[in-house]
Amino acid sequence: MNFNSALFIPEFLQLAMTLVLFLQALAKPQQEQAAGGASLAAQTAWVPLGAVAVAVSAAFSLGDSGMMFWDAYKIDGLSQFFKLAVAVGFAIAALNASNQPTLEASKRADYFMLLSLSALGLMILASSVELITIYLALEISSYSLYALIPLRGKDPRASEAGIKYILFGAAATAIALFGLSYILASQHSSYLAVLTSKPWSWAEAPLAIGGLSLFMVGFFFKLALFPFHFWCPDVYDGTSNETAAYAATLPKLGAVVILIRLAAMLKPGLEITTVLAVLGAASMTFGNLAALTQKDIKRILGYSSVAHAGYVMLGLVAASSKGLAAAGFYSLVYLLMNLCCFWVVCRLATDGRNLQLDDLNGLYKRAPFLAFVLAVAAFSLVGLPPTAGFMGKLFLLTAAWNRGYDWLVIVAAVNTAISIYYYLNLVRHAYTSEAEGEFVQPRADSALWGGVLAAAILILGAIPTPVFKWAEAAGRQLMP
Amino acid sequence: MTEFVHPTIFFVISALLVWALPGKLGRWVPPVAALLAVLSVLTMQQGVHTQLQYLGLTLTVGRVDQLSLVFAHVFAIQAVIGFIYALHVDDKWQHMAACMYIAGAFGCTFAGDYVTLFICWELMSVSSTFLVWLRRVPASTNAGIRYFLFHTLGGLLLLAGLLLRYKALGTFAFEAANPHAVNLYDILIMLGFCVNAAVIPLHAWLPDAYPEATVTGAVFMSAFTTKTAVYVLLRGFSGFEILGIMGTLMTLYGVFYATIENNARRILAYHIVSQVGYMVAGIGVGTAMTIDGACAHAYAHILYKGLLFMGAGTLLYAAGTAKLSELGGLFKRLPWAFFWYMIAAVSISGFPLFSGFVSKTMTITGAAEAHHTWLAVGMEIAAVGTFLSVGIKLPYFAWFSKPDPGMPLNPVPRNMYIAMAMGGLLCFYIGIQPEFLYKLLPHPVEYVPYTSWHVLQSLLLLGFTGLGFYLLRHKLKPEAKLNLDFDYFYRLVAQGFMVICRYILEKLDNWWTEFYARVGLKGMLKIAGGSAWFDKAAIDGVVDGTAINVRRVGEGATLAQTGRLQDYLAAAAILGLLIFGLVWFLR
Amino acid sequence: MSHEPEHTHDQPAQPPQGGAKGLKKLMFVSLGVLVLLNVLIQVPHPHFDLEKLPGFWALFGLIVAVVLGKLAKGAAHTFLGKDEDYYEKRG
Repeated sequence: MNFNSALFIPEFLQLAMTLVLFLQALAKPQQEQAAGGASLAAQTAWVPLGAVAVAVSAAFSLGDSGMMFWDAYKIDGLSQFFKLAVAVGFAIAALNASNQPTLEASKRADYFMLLSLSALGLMILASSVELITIYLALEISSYSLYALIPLRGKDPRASEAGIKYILFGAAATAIALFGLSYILASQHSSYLAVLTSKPWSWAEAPLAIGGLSLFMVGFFFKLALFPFHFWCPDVYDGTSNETAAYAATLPKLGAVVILIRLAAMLKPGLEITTVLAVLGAASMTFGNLAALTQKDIKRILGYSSVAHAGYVMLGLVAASSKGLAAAGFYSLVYLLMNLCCFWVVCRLATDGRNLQLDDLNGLYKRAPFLAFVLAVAAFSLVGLPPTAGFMGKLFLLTAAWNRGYDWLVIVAAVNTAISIYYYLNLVRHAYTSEAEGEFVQPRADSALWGGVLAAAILILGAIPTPVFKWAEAAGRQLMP
Repeated sequence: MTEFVHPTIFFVISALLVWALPGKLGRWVPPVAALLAVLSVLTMQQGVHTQLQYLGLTLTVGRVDQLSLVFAHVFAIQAVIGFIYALHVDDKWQHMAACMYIAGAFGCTFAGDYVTLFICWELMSVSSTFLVWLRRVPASTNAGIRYFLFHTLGGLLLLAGLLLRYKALGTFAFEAANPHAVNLYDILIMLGFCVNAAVIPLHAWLPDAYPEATVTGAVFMSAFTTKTAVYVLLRGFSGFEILGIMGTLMTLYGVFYATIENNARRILAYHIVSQVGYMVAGIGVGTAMTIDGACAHAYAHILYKGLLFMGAGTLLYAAGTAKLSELGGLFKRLPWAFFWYMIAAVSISGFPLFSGFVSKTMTITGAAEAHHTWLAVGMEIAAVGTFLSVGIKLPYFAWFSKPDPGMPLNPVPRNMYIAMAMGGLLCFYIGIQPEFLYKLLPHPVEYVPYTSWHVLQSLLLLGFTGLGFYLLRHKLKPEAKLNLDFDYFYRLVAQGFMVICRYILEKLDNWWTEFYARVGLKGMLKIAGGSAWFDKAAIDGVVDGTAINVRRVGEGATLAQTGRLQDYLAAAAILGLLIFGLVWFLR
Repeated sequence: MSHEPEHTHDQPAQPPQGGAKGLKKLMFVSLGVLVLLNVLIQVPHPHFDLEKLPGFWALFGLIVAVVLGKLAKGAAHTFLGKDEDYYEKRG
């Protein structure tokens, strides 16, 4: 089995955190009588710190390599890069969710346990190199999230969102499993290492191609790629702001890492690659067009994630080490940008309601620092310099162009132009419109962490090379 | 201890400490730094030390040889005296300016290449400007601006020269120029040095600015700017005949004006021109004895000129004015200031037993022995004038000549007297123990000052000069007047430049305004109108139209989001299969 | 070397009184002694012929002092001397 505990430390810490939270969740009925709700809330205050510890251990493990669990579990540059991304994202999302207005104090431990379990599933997913392991890890992360979506006070729309997510997800993963069976049937192996050396053209292995396409559907669903995205705006809309922050960002990382591993098997011109390209183009276009008329900020962000899924496809179809690196880098950047946006949303919606565009009016006067953070996030999502979003898009477009996907690059550029409208609409409402009605001041430390996120975006935009080099190293390990 | 610690470091640190520490504590730092500098100078080894890398160049900041040592020696001593004189000053910026000024002076002294020299030259220029400005009266502000402008001009001449030299020779090394093979760059560098050495006609900044400097600042300035210039001339331009002639002219010019000036510090400032003239003349003659004489004279001059300025500064500090026409009869109330001033006055005049006697006569004898008899005679004339103006006229009209006008006097702080005593005692010591000075000089000294003839000649000369003053004492009464000097021409040039600028630029400006209004503006408005129409009608139409239509399409796209799960699943399945099928079958 | 006893500005040169008279006498006597010494002590290396004359340097000092004083003051009174705010007025 060759289990090397030294290579397993980030997952181990995440597992430990989940177990502690599990025990806390079990213990709460007695304490509910002893203390009040406030101390219950304080019990889970350590979770962001624990997540930071996991992130630090993941950072230290960036250079590790090895195989475990009968070669179904691989530690390489890609897996560690994504584990670090997941850990960082989880830390930010946990910090974001520390004070949820729509969550009862007694359910906090459960909430964080499930969140932590989902992140653990994503970490395992990053290292999985065997199809069934991949499937299991995917389900671990998904099921945890299914349970979290409806946790929003007594809001029936949250339950509706939960049902949609579960059923759509169930259908998608069922199709994925079906496709997995076809792959097993035609290629006789479920190990990615073996599958890479097998033929993947229509002439030689049509069944395998069909199977792979169906298998990928599961991940397209997770990534919210057109046409498997329909759940996305409704679910974000329905669930609480903090859960939406997590669900909009981290599962996509998991999907991207698997798609990167699968894309390492592809070459340009293959039918699979073309499918990816077409889906990407359609996703970008549809997502951006649909976002133009939205008024609810979370729906905007939902459609924008559909569009960004399309951009990530640019890197995957390029199928060179640079392209895969660009896809990985962009997903990290997307994580930061989106979490930054959701950070502002959560701080402003102090009662946990859905924020509309008009709720942003006059933000530059009421909370100028938050308005600035929102502006940085919005510019980054558009892809304007000097933000990280610009750098990420630049890497993606360059990789795709260098591999001959000119039409895709042009479509991406046009879409970026279209997206400017609705992202800058956010900024317009924040800076040029005047506020009406009451406004509750956000807490002081919210400005601090928001500033940290905005700074990270700007710094990554100015100096992307160190991070991009890791991604490139990981990409070269996959596709030398 | 290492063999070389650059004294500049002490003064830079001192400036920083003065800035950071509270006033009462900070003012003690510069004298301590100066003492450390003395220690450093006494213990440093000769040779080339400390080369720094800067901007791709190798800068030699520690070139120690006999020539630089003799100047560094006296700079350090005068720094101690000057800072003790300035202990009572509250203004920390004055201390900082003085520290940076002296730091620059040491930097110039030990500079082995022109780049280091230039940097330190400019540092001195700026710092000394502050020593003028920090008096904080309108006359000082104006004088400081003129001073700075002129020194910047000097610095630019130096810069032009050294850059041309680099282009021609490929090196920045600061070595002697050949008097028989003079190039343009040599001339430019020499002119730059001559500005700081106050060689006429580039001297007018000195009597303009020094009387307007602070009481303590003038003491520093009298020592460092001109002597640094003398040092660099010694190193770079020994034996250039023109310097011999200009030097002698300087000696005469200086005493001429000193005789008719009214402001005590202006008299002393013109005197600096005269005394530096001795040094410049010695450099020009270029023999071993005259070079020794120039060095010795510089050494002694720093000490006694500093003491003279300290005496006049005490008068200014106590009585509030340095104008001889307003002073007088103060002997009873300021006796010690008079005493120490006279020590300096007899030193400068060249009385036996004091420092001037052992240095000045060396230069004159050297010039005569090199068969530059007219230079020697000129210097003797200047010696007469020196004694007349600085040795008799100034003290007579300041401390005597009329009964005490009874004006209120500020009490003079004790540190000023202590500093004057230090200077005076050194002047006397050098006078009776000339070996102390002679062993510092670059060339071995064969001159014996104390021969009966030398003593007698000096006494004759000076004694009968005194008689001359006695006969003329009414004619030489100081009057409150401004005497025109070469700065008349400087101002003329500057004003002319301004007039040309205004005249020409005004004409140009008027013409342009006309053209702009008639042709440019109207035409531009027409074009603007046209493009505005195009923009509104054509471009906006297209852009807005496109945007609105794209938005409409977007709205249409959202129709797919019905909210019903069954619709979603169905749409996903149908669209997915459609795309897969299309791609596969169309390949 | 010498300083004069107190004089007031507006009075013409008075014959010195008392102690001042004694000082004046001392000054002339010492000057005379110096000239006599010049007869005894000759210049060892004369740089020009005139120097050999006893009392040359004395005369030199006196004449130069007087000429300098007169010339300088003459210039100051004619074209050099201006009002103190000369440059400010010209602007």
